[in-house]
Amino acid sequence: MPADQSSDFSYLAVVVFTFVGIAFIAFNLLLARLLSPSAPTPEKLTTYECGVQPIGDAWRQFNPRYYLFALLFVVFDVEAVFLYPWAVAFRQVGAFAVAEMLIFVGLLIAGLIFAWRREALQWE
Amino acid sequence: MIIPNYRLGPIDLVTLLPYIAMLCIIGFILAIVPLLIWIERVVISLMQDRIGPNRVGPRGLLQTIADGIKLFFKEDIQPRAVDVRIYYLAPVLAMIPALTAGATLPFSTVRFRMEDGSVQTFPMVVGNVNIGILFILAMASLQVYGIILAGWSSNNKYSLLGGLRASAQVISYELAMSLAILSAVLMSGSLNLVHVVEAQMNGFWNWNLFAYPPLGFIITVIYLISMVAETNRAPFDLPEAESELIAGFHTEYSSMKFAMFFMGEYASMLVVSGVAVSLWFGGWTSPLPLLDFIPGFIWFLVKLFALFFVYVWLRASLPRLRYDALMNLGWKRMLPTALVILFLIACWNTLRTPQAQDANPVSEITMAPARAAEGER
Amino acid sequence: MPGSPTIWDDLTLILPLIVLWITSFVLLLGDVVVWKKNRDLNPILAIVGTLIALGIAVYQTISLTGDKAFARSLNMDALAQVSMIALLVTGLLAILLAWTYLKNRGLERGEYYPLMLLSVSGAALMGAANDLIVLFIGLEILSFALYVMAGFSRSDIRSEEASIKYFLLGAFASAFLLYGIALVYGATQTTQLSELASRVHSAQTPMLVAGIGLLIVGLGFKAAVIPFHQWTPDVYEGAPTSVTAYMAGAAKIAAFVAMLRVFDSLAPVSSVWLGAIQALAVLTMVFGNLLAIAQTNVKRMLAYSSIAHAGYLMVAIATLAHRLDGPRGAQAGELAMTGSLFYLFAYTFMTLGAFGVLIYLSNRGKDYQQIEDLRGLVRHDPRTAYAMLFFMLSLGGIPPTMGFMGKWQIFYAALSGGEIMLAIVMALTSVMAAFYYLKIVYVMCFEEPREAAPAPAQFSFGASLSVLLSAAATILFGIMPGLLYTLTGLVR
Repeated sequence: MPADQSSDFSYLAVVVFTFVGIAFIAFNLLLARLLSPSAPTPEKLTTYECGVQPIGDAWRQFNPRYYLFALLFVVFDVEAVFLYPWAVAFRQVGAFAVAEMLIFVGLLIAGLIFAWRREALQWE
Repeated sequence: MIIPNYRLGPIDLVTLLPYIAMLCIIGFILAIVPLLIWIERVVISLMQDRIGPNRVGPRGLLQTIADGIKLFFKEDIQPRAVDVRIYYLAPVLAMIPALTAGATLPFSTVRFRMEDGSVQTFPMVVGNVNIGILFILAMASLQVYGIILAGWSSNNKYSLLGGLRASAQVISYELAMSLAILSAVLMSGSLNLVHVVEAQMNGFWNWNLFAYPPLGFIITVIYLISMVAETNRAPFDLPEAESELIAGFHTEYSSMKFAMFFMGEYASMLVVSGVAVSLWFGGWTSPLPLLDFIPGFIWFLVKLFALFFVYVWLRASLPRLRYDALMNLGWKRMLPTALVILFLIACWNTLRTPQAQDANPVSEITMAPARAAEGER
Repeated sequence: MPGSPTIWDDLTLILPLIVLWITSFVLLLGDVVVWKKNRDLNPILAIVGTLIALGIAVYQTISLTGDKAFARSLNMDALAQVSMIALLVTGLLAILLAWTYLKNRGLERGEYYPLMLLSVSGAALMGAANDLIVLFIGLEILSFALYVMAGFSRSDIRSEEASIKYFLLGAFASAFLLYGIALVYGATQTTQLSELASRVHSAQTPMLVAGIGLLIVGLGFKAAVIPFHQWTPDVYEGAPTSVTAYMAGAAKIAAFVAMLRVFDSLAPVSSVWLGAIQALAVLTMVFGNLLAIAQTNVKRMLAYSSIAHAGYLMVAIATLAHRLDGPRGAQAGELAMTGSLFYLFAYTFMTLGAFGVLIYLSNRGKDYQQIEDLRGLVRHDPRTAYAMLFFMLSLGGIPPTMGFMGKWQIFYAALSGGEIMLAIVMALTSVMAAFYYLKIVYVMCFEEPREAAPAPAQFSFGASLSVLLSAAATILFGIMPGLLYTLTGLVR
């Protein structure tokens, strides 16, 4: 097979690309800093909440209502990550792999159904 | 079109190919984003029976460029209450993953005549890594950090709400998205986007869109929906819902930092659309074999613009989703559907292809870096 | 064995576990999708599943088909199979108890039984582990289910407290165990217990010593050995009584069977760990019993009693260290193995019985938890009181009950293994233990009820049957222990 051997080299290009991207953004921000005027006034620097004087700051306890979703997300995201190698190796392993994955995903689907029926997916 | 492989000392064009591709992508994003914004404004104004931009340049074509220049000269207001480090980091984080994800996206092929007279085909891609899809997925999920951090560091209630909404939205739609991508991987048996595209060559009927009818079509639709949601575009633009949250997560950003969010959004739209094109619509290949003479990147662009048009079309025609509807769609409709389709494809695949020979389709396209590495030896 | 084992052979060996898993998923989904209102179907189906699994397990055990499975990561030998039977029996009795208890408390949520069956399977995996990693996985399956079950009464703040406490400390102990596994692996380059036994002698490094120490901490936590016992009284008291009953039995069986396995393969380096185990055994027996005396809450008292029983079982573990010291030691090791299995059976019957009596009484609309509540029970509910009497006598190790037979076997094993000191401590602390068990008997039988007799308990099938079965087993195997020897004697 001709392909796939030297991906180290390819990753290098990706890394270079990332740095080029960072440099590009830094250049833009710097340029804007040089070009833009700066005349701050106390009113300008207040937090903008439609012109109303802000009461307190936003860093307080809040209730992320979606934490149940987040728990489920972790489960299913890990599942998806497990499935990727499976999908690639799938043709070599054949029917047995399908059966195993059926069980694996079946368990997770059962969990999803349970969460659904227990109204964990209900947004109030 | 066959290009001779010019050589200057140890460096030849093939070795430089990733860096040429890099310049193409950055230049392309720089050049195309103003054009995309212009298209969006014109198309929406046409759909809404308005006139739209028409002052700067022909049909307002230069309007966005003027806007961009204007942003450089705008005052950069940094409110007193923000958490400065994260406040600066956020726009960078919104932009970088979108750019980096583009690095593994192949957008064309080039044919070179080598020194020995043979003609070889190389993909135009910055990093032809063999887990390109995973890389893109990882970068796409990193992007939300820009939004969440922006929302949090602004110390503004509206921004915070925007950031929270963004994270809830991402966890709901990323699952469907990764499962949809997974089924494309299953169809092609590779995580390398070049292989995935190659498997769809020779005519549109080989596209993954039409594979395993109608499963390929349904999963494509699922991908397209979650792609719109991932990029926080209408009708899933809850993180920046103007009518509720001022400007959502970027309320406190101005000047170039705001532009970074804007650019990041369009760049990620381009990337996820590019992924959609590669996974489902045949990538750079032509839809009909007799149209093969048109270069690959033109096909890629045509398909990209078609998808971008879908974005604009959605924005013009659909109202914003209510929050519970958004979560319901993600968790109760798309996730189960995607799981079931994934399965059906797997079963279908098993029943249809008993032989294990074509496990790794041998690529017709030479991997540019592979050859370059050999050349060094 | 003819031919190489296929995946089907492996799966056949764990068939009881598969039955449990299928049952729990049927229950989990059936409860939310199919029969949403019919709450009695859950325990009935759970019992059916457990009975099927029990049948298969018994058949496999007596037909001696045990073998290593799944690339030697499971060792489905007689020890695994007998402990699986013990666990399934525990599960069965606990399901019967929960049937009554959950109904009385309005806690009939469908996930209770699946959680319980899954934790039984985790405990059985622990008992069958031939690999430290599998042991850890089994422990986690068991523990996760128990964490949730301990907090099952969500409106009760003590239940919540029990759950959180158990979870935090349990996670901590799991980390210890995992560290221990990693260090043992680092010292011996294997996690397989059967491999470990042959390699451990030539790998006596500080790393191995540290690893074994952490293993003791991790397993000792699950088994509630002093000084890793602090969670026990609070969790036993706070958790719903049906959960406490189940947890007391299943967790103890799982932890001690796993300990038997681990220290059986670590016997070649017994000089490393014997001292620690002896010290823990003495500490646990002495302080478990001392602390139990001071309790006024029956659940708390039983918690300390469970700690004390863990101490007796630690004596058996210590005896296992002499397995390789000549024929006499080998015999003592075998006795310790069979004896502790017998003891685990006995413990599960009498503890579940004692908790079962509390659950049965709570049918009167009041939660019976204090020793005071049992005052004069014999006047208005003599049958229940006599059942409780048997369990208390058995827990105290008084003949002719099963508890006595179990304790006698361990005592005898310790004596023949040369652990004279431990045997003496065991005898003395048993006498101490008789005090607080008999106190309950005294309160029940010889004190006047403080208030007018409450309404007699409604007949509840689940709890009655469970208590009846436990009492029958306690007496039957106390008088005729040979019946159970045929089973535990397979472990050799």
